[in-house]
This record gives sequence, C-alpha cells and structure tokens, in this order.
Amino acid sequence: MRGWRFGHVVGAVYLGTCLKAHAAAPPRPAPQVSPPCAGRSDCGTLRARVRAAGLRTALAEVRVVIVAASGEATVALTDAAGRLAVDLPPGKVRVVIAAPGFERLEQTLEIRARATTERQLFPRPTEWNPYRTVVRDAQEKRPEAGARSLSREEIATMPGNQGDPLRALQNMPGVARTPGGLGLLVLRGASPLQSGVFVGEHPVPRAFHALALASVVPGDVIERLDFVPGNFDARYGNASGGMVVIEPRRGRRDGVHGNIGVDLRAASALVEGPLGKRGSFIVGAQRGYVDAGLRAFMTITDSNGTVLPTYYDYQAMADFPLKQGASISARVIGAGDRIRFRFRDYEDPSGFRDAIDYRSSFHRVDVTYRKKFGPWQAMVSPALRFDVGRQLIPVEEREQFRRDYVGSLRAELQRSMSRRFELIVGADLIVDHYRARGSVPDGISWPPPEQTARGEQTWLGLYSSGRLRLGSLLLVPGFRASAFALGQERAFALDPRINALWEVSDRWRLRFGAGIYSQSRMSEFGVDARIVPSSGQIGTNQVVLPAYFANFEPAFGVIPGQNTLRVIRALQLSAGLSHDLPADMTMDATAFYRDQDQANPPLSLGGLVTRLTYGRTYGVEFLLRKPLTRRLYGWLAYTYMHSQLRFDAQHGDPGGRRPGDFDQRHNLTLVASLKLGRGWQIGGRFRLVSGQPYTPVVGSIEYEGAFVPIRGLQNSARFPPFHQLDIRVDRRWIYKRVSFLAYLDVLNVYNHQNVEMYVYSYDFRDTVGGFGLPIFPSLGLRLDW
Amino acid sequence: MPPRAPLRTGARARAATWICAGAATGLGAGCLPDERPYWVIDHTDALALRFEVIERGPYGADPPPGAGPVVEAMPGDRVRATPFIAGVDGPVDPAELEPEWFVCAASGCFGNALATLDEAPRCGAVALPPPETCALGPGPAAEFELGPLLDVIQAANLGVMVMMVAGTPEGPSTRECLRRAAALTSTTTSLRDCLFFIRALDVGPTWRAVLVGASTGAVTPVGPADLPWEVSQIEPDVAPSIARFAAWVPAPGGGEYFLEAQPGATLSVRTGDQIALSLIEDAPPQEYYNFSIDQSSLAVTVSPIVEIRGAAWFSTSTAPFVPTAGPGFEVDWRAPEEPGTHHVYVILADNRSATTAWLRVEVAPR
Repeated sequence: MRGWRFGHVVGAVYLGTCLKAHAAAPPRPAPQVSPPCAGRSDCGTLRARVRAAGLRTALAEVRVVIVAASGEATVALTDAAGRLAVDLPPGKVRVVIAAPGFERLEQTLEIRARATTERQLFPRPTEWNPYRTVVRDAQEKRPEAGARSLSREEIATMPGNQGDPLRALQNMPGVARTPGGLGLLVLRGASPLQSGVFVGEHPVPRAFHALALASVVPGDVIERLDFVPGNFDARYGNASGGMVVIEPRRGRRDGVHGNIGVDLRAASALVEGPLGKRGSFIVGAQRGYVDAGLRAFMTITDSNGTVLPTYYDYQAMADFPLKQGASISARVIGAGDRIRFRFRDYEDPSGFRDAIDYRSSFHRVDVTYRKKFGPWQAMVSPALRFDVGRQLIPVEEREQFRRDYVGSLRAELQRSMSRRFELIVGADLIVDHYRARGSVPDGISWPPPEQTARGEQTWLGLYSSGRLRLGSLLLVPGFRASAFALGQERAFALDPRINALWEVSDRWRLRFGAGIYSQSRMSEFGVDARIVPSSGQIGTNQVVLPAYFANFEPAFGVIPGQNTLRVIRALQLSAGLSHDLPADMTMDATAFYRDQDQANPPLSLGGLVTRLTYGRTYGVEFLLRKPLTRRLYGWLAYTYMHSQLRFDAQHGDPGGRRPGDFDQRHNLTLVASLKLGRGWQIGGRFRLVSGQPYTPVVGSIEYEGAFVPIRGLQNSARFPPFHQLDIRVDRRWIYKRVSFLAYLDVLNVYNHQNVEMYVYSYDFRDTVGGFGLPIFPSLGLRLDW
Repeated sequence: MPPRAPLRTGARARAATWICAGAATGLGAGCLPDERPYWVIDHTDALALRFEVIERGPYGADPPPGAGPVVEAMPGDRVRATPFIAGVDGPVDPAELEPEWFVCAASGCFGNALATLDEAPRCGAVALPPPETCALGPGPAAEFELGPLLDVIQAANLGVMVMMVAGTPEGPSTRECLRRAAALTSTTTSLRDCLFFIRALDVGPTWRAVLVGASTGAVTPVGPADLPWEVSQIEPDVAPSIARFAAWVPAPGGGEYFLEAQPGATLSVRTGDQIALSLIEDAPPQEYYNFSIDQSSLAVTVSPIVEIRGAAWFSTSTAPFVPTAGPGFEVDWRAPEEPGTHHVYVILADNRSATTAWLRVEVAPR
C-alpha cells in the first residue's frame, strides 16, 4: 500500500507541476534575501530554473536548499515556472534539490559579488513519466461490467504490445487473440465488423493497419483508451459487439517537445508545443517500411515471391481553450495501407509482377467545440472523412474501387439536474456518399463486365443517458433511437440500455448491464473486396485460414447498390464482481451473454449449404491486476467463452448450434513488468489460447482430373492451441534536455511453432501447417526531447 | 478424361511461394514443407474410368473399322464403365473394393448431393440429361442404358456423370464410406481413404444427337438443317490404345539394351538404373468437329480438330518422370535405390477419352 501511495504522490506532483506549467508564466521573482546577506551590500544574486531532466518540465514549489561556504543554509521554493532567485554572499555555494520522485541533485556554484549568476538545474526523475497522467482509478467509476480504461503510460509500458494502444487491448479479458498477428478487434466473440472504434467523437473505418501490426492512431497522441467489450452506454450506436473509444490528448504547453523513433518495422516522429497564448498542438506521423526490407530480401535471396505491406498514418491536432469555459479542438488524422503480392516474372522487363495490388486509406478532419452554459455543458462536433479503396488483380482482370465521402455530426448536452442525477442527451448523424466501380469475373463474360454504383447510406441516432446515484448505487439508464437508410430502404431500432454499479463496501463492487444493440448490416449480394477469404483456392492449393482472415480489414462492399439493408439486434447482458485484494491488487470477474438475431456471419466456405438463424455468445472473464506502481506491474487475464451459431434444420441436416467463427474457448494472458532501476525495465507476456475453429476438408471427389473438396461441418475442427512468450527489455538514458530509449522486443522467445493455417495437398489427402511467427527480435531506438 | 499431370503447374508452385511469403510477413510463418509429388502412388487410387458401348441402341454408331469399342453413347445404347485402380502393390481388382455406382444429376454429386447418395433411387434408363441422382448398384463395373434425349445442348455439354464410390484396403469399406458421407450433415468424419471418382460419359457424336433430338422432340436450339453436311462424316469416339512399352535399360556389362514390353509385363532393372521409357500407340488420333453456338443468333459454327494426346506417368516410387519427347510419350526414370518390386502406371489421354497401362518393375541390387 505504501508503494501505491508513493506512486500516486509522484504522479500527483507531476500532475501538479504540469498543470501549473500550463498557466501563463508569472513575472520573474524578486530575489529572496538569504540570512547571511541581511544588511550586506556585496551579495550576488542566484537566479535558477529547476526543470525535470529529459522532460524539461518546470518543477514548481520544489524546495531548494542553498548552503553557503560558511555553512549557513537557505531554503527557497520555486515558483510556478520553476524559478527561484536568492541573494547570497560571494563565494562557493552548494545547491541541493531533494524532491519526491527525483534523484538528489547537488551542485556547487560560484556566486560573484554584486553580480547575477543564472543556472538551469535538472534533477533526474527516478522513473520516466512524460505522460502527466496518473493511473486512473477508472474501475470504480465505470458502471459497465468488464470495462477498462488504459492510461497512456500503461499502454506505453505494457509488455507485448510494442507501445501500440489497440494491441494493448489484446491483453484484456474478453478480447480474442487474433491469428497471425492480425490487428483485428474481436470482443466477446463478436465479429470485428460488429464492434466500433472511435477516435474522439467520431468512428474510424478501421483500427489497425493491414498486416502491419500497428494501430492507425499511435500511442503517443492519445490521452486515454476506454474499452467496453459489451453493454456500452447509449452514447454509441450502430455496433452490436463492443466499443473502443480513443481520447486524443492535448499537446504540451511547457515548450516544444517531440520524439523520433525507429525500429525494424517503422519510423515515427512527433512534435508538440504551445500554440498562441493558450493553445497547444501535436503533429505526428508514422511510416512502415517492412516492404523495403522484403524487397531487398527478395532480391538477395532470388525469392520467387513475397507480400509487400506498407502503411502510413498522420495526426495533426490543435486545442484552444477559449473564454468563458469554452474550448475548441481541431484534428486531422489519416492512415493508408498498400499490400502487394509480388512474384518473379522473367518475362516482365522489371523481373517482377504484382499479382495483387491493394490500397486503402482514410483521411478525416473534425472539430469539437465545448462550452459551459451555467449548469449545462454543450458539445458539438462535425467531421468529414474521405475513404478510398482499390484492389487490382491483373491476372483475373479484376479491379474494384470504392470512394466514400462521409460526413458526421455529434451534438450533446449534459446537465447536472441535482446532486444525484446527471443527464446527457445527444444526437449523432453519419451520411456516407459512396461511389463504387468493379470489374469482377463472373464466369460468363470475358473480360469481366464493369459495374458501377453510387448512392448514400445514412445512420441517425438520438440518445439519452442518465447517471443516478442512490447512496452506494449508481444507475446509468439510457435509451437510443436509431434510423438507418440505404438508398430507398429504411429501418428503425429502439435500444433501451441500463448499467448499474453497486459499491457494496470499500472492497466489493457489483456491476450489472442489460441492453439492446442494433446495427445495420448490408446483406452482401454484390462482391466484396477481401484480400484473404478464410478459405479458398490459391493456384491449385486449398488454403484454410481461421475465419478471422475473412474479416481482415480493410474490406469494402464494391456494389452496395445491389445490397439490401438489414438490422442486427443483439441482447447483451453482463454482471460483474470486483474485489480489492491486499497488496493493491484487484480482482474482477464478469459473466456475459449476447444473443443476436439476423446474424450475418463472416464469409467462410462452409461445407454444406445451411441456413443460419442467429448466434449467441456467453462466457466469463477474469482479471487479477496489480496496478502500475513504482516497480511492479502486472495482470492475469482469463476468458472462457462459447460463441455459437445456430443452423436451421434442412436437407437432412438436423441443424443445431455449432461453434462460431470467433469461438475462442480459453484465453489466458499473463503480463508482468518490473522496473529494475538505473533506467532498466523488463517485461513479459505469456499467452495460452485455444485454437481457432475452421471448416476441415474431409475428403475429395476426383472429377475429370480435378479434385473437388468434401468439407466437414462448419467450424467442426480447431487449429492446435496457441502459446507464446514475449519479452521486452528497455533501457532509458536521461540527459538534461533529452532522453534516449533503446529496447529489445523478443516475440515468441522459445520459438514455438504455432499453426495458423493449413494448406492442403492437391488431392486433399494431406495437410501442411503454416506456422506463425518464429522467434522475432526487434531492436528499437527512440529519442525524446 | 484428362490425365492428372497438368495439376502440377507453375501456378501451383507459385501459389505455394506466395503462401510462404505471405505467411512470413503476415503470419510470420516459416516456409511450408514440400508435399507429396502427384505421381507417387502411395495409396489405393482410381486413375481412370473406361466407358464402352456394349450394346448399340437404335441411334448408336458403329465403331471405325479395326478400332476398339465406342466410348461415347447415344440414347438407347447400353454402356459399361470399368475403373482402373492403382495400388501400391499393383493394379487393384475393383471387385475387391465392392464399389457402388451412381449417375449424378446435371448439377453433380457434390455438397448436399453427396450426403444423400444413400437415398438415391435406383436408376432406370438414364435420361439425357439425368434429372436426378440415381443408384446403379454395386459391382466391379457399372452397366446402364441411356434413356430419352431431353435437352440436346445440356446432354452434349455435360454428358452423363458416373460416380464410383469405393472403400480402399487401407481405409474404410465402401459401405462405411457411404455411411460417413450420409452423416456429413451432422458429424464430421474423415473420407480421406474413400474413393469418390467421377467421369463423364460423352453423348454423341454431336451431330447424331442433334438429329435424334429433332426427331424425338428434345429441347434443342438448333436443327439438323443448321449443321454443315461434313459433320456427318465424323466417326464416333474410340479410346486411344497403348500397344506396348519400349525401354532402353542399362546393360549389366555396360551400355544399354532395347526391349519392348506388353502392358502388364515385368521389367527387370538394377537399383539406380536410368531407364528411358516410351509408349507405342495402337492407332493415330481421330479427327472430330467442335461445335459452338452463338447465344444470341443461335448460329452454329463447327471447326475440325485432331485429337491431341498426352501421357501422364505414375509410380510407386518417388523418382520423378522426366519428359524427353512429346507430351509425356517418352520419359526418363531412375529405378529406386532400394531393391524390390515397383509399379509404373501410365494414362494416355486425348481431349475426349483415355486409356491406362502398367508395368511391373523388379529392382535387383546392383
């Protein structure tokens, strides 16, 4: 408990100093007269500024002890800008700073008679914390069972996620491991397409870069990540799974700061600082270059082919506090991906040819205005997004293209009606104007005919949510009315929701949630552009991948004009229990249930034609957590889950429930991180996860020299269990004005060969496994200033 | 009945590379191991199904003088289908496997149709095209009669799909294979060692089918008057035939000697011998006409074609066959390094039908 308190004191000191640093700089302090200088005229003046080494953050209200040569000590306090001024007798003096959270700094200075000596003093922090946030005690505040909030520091230091915010989620209970390192978000057995990801007040089309193991929003620009695997409140709609909300942070105002990072996958840079009198800005960008390395590898090894993924993302954010409690934030974010399947072609002049060329990108600008009107708080946020995707497969003469202009608006009013009740009402609107064009082989015409479509999809939601506190009980009832439109089709949904938190005692808390969650879904009669189906033919090899690959983002419907609008409705129930254990540990257990009608399963080559009616998911999540403290941090997360689809009886098939594509029965994650001192830190993550379901090929029919697979029941087989240990070692060097980080991230330390896919022989008699990531060390460097 | 050799193509090798490379980046996977070569017979496998008209109906055609039996049929013909099944220890007598036979509906015997084979009614005279899947019953070969011609184009395009279902000595029995297939809708069981083998019996000659269709009231977009007169000169298809094998074999004292062997003969070689094998055909390729119908104008175009033949070789050892001349007519093959008995199988196919032959190879120590 003592360590926990100490950690929070350190955090509070930082928070305090940094908040003060945001205020306008006070005038230079008048010199304080030290006792030895009383009545003397030959004293000199020491003017010093105290700032944290590496961070350059001004340290306010820090006690500075100045010991004169005569042995007399003078104590001075820094002001809000970290400055102090003291008249001292000439000669050598010792300056000593011993602030909580910092190493003791002792420096000898020469004071000259009747002169001013200016110095910058940089005490070194005992632990690196540039984030100016403390660990949020969010568990106590969130009424949703199983919800978590991750601070920026947790994300940055959590082992196994390489500082990536959304990858950090994959260590949480309720979040499935995605095969092959794919950055998909599978929450409580729901398809990735059923969960929403918001950056600020608006959704983004995807969370992760394709094949690049990175989020489209890097950890450096976020303040907080709220993760609700189910039973999210009425503020968010058009999702029937879970919700992730990324809150971007504001730039620092205590000078211009930034960082440059480089590792084997990507390079990144970020600059932030004050903007005008009260504003701040952040500008950052990231570029992946895995493709460059693979191209070189291909040339050196004379390889026949390879996949070349590349990506970029950028962020520009500005925040301005306005007068009378108002503020305005403007953000520009974007991300793009390109994947090429390149193979050697000696007939081509360049020696290579791209079999598949896939590009996808989005670019968004949004503005958020907030203002307080007496007891009311208002927020309005418009956004405009431009999405574009293109897939080209020259050998098939297949070309698909889609472009979307997406306008969205969120407006919200919040008021404390009384000491016990707080009300939020709001509306969100998304209008997607699309244009699609596709030339897709239809097996009849050659070359494939070109189809085009254009139109609008609209989503409108009106919501109301309240927070009612009745003693130790917090009730959060909510209601959401949604309207969906696709061309001339209309659909409506009414979603009541409620969450409750009962603080039974200081150590025990109960949570409960129930609600209806509606999501529009296009029934895809048109062709959609997926890079990798979960199963299919490549050449004459039948490849079977986990169903996750069918949901591999980005995917886009190419001919939406041929689609029909349907609404998925899901009932979500959850109940949770939290308990504070000794040694600052917390334990959470959550049971959940989701029952969904009109399930539209992800594409996968099911064996026999069956009709699907609905799916359901149920399970329990368990989290034992040791919060971030001075030295040790860790947790143990376990999820037991059944995700099922129900099939109607037909054609002799008795029907019944079968495992869904995302049925990950057991998922155990153990995460630990230890600060060793002297800038060293070591962390590890161990995962043990059930194999993914897949639909096996059980035999084949030889038909005129070709082999036609005979498939078993959908998802009636599983890949072998997955287990892997990742370890990361960090070393940080802190200098006066900069800090330097070197890290070694070793994935799959004991090189376990996890089977992530199967490739069948030409006659389907034999299979060979495609193994996952082998041991993979990655060295990274980063400079912060 | 094309051979299986084309299955091994550059595209396939390239695909494997992509998978490997894709896995290396996306999945981070290691490279995939080499799979079993297609030419290796390491399990009981059906290689071919030979059709022959055993009883000519009212519209059937006589075979060309001196040629073998006709392998394409007309309504009223009685047809026999005989499988050729290769095994590790030589050709397998189909009677040992007790195969069951089916005629597939025009949509085939795939997917749900496979699971309902046990409910298939008994075949009568098989209509062209077959309206539903029906059972021909058990036996080492299937015999059936072709029924009325209902749709000329469909019948000419699809023919009659005949499926053999058989168990194997190393796997389940035929009865068990059918039981497992029927249970596919409720449980997943391996059919790996069951043989599901489909070949299509051609209906023709095409010009005769058009004539018969017009006279019997079958659905047909073209009439006899739409056909040029020369197509009526076309003879019915007969299967290619292998007269014998020829081989150059290293002589014990050095040099090589030449020999000819009848199909089914035994060849004696020593371990590691490099052998040049070739086929000697019985008859030259036939000429026939390819029909195409323009969908909008229904204009018929015919073009003369000479059958293009090719051979695919299989053996019970892993040594590859290296083509040296023609599309598989002459190959080099290295005898295994281990003494013992091996078998070499060959399929000689043209665009329309195929035939099989085999040799026993006794490998003696050097």
